[in-house]
Amino acid sequence: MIKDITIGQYFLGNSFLHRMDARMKIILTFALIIAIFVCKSIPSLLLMVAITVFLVAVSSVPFKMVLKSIKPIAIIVVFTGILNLFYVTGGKTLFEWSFIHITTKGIFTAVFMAVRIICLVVISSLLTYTTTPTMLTDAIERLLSPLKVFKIPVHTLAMMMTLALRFIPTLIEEIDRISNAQKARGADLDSGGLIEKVKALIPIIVPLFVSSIRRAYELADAMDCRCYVGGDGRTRMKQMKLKGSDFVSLLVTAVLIAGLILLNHYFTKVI
Amino acid sequence: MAAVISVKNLTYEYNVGTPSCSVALDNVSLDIEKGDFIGLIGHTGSGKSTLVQHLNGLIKPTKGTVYLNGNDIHSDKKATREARFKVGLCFQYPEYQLFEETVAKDIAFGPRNMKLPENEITSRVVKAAMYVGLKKEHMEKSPFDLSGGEKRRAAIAGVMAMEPEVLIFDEPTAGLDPKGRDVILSLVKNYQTQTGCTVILVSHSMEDIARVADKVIVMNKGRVEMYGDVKTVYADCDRLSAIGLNVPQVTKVFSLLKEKGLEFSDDVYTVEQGFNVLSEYLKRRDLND
Amino acid sequence: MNKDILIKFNNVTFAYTSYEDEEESVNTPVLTDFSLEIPRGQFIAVLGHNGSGKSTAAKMMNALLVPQSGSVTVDGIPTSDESRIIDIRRKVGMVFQNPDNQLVATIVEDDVAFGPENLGVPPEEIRVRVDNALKAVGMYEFKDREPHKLSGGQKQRVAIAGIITMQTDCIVMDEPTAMLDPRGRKEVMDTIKMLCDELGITVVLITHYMDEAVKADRVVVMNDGKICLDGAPREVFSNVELIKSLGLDVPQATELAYRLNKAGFDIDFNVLDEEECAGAIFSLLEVK
Repeated sequence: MIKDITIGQYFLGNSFLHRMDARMKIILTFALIIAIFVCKSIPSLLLMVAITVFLVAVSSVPFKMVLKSIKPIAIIVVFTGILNLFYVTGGKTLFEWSFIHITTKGIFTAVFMAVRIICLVVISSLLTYTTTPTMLTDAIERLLSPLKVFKIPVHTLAMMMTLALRFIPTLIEEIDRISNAQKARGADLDSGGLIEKVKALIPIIVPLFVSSIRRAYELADAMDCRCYVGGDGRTRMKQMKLKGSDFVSLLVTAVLIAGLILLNHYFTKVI
Repeated sequence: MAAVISVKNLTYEYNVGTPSCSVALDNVSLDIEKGDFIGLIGHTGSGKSTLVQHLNGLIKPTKGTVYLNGNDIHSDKKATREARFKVGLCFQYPEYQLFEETVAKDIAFGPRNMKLPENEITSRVVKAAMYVGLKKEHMEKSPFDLSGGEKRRAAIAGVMAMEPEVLIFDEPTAGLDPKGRDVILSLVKNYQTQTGCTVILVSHSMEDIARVADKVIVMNKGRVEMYGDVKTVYADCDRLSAIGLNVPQVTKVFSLLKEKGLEFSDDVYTVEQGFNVLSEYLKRRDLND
Repeated sequence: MNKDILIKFNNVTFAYTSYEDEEESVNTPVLTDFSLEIPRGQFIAVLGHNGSGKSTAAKMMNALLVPQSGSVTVDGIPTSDESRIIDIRRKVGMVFQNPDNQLVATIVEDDVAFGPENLGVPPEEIRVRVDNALKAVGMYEFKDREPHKLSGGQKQRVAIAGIITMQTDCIVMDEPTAMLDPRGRKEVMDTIKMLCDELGITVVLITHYMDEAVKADRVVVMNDGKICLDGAPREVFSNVELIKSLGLDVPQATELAYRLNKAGFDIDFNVLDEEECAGAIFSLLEVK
């Protein structure tokens, strides 16, 4: 049922990743993602895989859900793999037939790209699996707050993000309700060519638009009533405090990334 | 009498195969007879909304079959489409489905989807507007310029204009003031008496149902708990309270009188009935003295 | 007698202006010469059909709207004083009809914390207020849930908790039960009773449901932007004819007794609920 939609893809848990300060988590995620693309030697890639596996293991997110996050990109992985396999030349040629050359470098590139993409997706989805959308927007707001100096309305942007997250399920429910009501009046949403299909959406889009405007007005009144006047002078119930463990994570990640760079430097780069 | 809709062993499950799988309808079987005015009552989550969306084929049953005039509405695409038109469904807060430039065009949306000839569409729009009491000057206005009550009536007309054999209203009075409630209930009742079509009224209010319906279906936990004449079903006041329905206040007055040893007939659920029963009793007593 | 008046309407007039075309404008009067005093601690129900001006009056109680003439004061502060708007909204909070359109956060407890966060309350205190408010409305075990997964009644209780945390003196509720099922209505009504009885908050409840209005200390009936009836529920509902002529209902129990009385039977129709009505009928039958 529509009610079961979960905003973002947070997975309730109490692992060490769940408890980590969201700002630190975002920074470390970015650091690791950049590190992924540094890996060019086999040992460094293996270390990266080990880090990813370790993170999944400690996240308390079920393996099934991690697999689910990879599923939508499976096609991309296979496709880039095949492209690299066939078109990257260099190293020893293993097989040759008309325009197809399979070379050692081709194989390495294919495997490296596939593994890198998987690591990237897994690490970034761990971020959203272990952080509530509220924490995420909060953390982004705080990380970007230095930009206020350049007159960028960081708080407003974060508030907009929160409200969008809050209202997405409500709007999906509404679309469902309106399209059922129009179907009950015989609206045919499935058949016909492109133009008919677009036309058939009008009976859904117009009421959705009208009701969204009404919602926006009501929400504005409700926010006024709760003394919302923007970001100045606001406090937060949930404080973000960097704990000792967050610095340990930072240190460990720094060491691991340094290790990656070293492994990359001292071993043969295969791509 | 012939059943216009017949539901056989209908089961519907949400999110089949996931941990949040739940049964919304549990082996429901019932017949709806032609020309009846049926009230459908039950609290949120009792399965009443899911049931009515099965009747016009908006939801496909997990198990079981819905027959419209003897034909399985899911036997093929044509049958489903026919069910859409023969069983009209007016959702809760129907005014939120208005979208056309003018009220007349909006009411014509259903008939137009039925691919009726233009003159037939026009005559249906006029008729439907009459049933809901919209005047000529409303018809060329934008539906968004109407008052709240008028919007609701325009939306109801949009379903009536399809002239379905069975017309289902899902809480048509939700959110209205007492006067608005009365207006909608009486126009639904008038429509039913004038066209003789089958009407199903979904409501939380036993009072409203008592005022207009002949029969009642009581749903509870995805099953049909009771189905019969208003009189028979409402007589079982205790059972209705037990499943969390709000028994009309007048009925409660009479069950209190019963506790005090004054027994009147069991079928009092509107002020009118209560007044008649008591005044007749008192007049008879005064005559006897 | 010096009653502590929290909200005071003084000859308030308000009209909406709509423009049919560029030249012509139509003034629709909503409130005309409207005066009302709401003492601290009272539970007051406002009745009236759609368009009687009750929502407009409600929005004036915390300066969402300001009068075009006359004045509204909250604890002595005129709502027209824009510099003190936050002070006014700290005293009078508001809960609206549609539970979906007033929750701002994606987690229940974050939403309840929104008000005090805006007021700059220290974090530790917000935590305490949020927990207490959620416990008061019976939603504590839902504090980590997402609002869209709650029932209508639960959402309204969260909205009420969000005002409790602001520690307002008064909560104005604009048809908070109109979109709810009977169970949700009961949950919200129980919560409102708790606000008055346990927290001592002044409650202004706008409603279409007579069974809710009878629970109030005082009922105000509005029609065409004016007050038509004002008094204890018992007094107000005894005006059966007048109330019906305004397009409103009286409780069934009152109506039954009233009709018997009108038919010439000696019955007291000053009854509000089924027990009083049954009692009155019983004594009528026992007379001889």
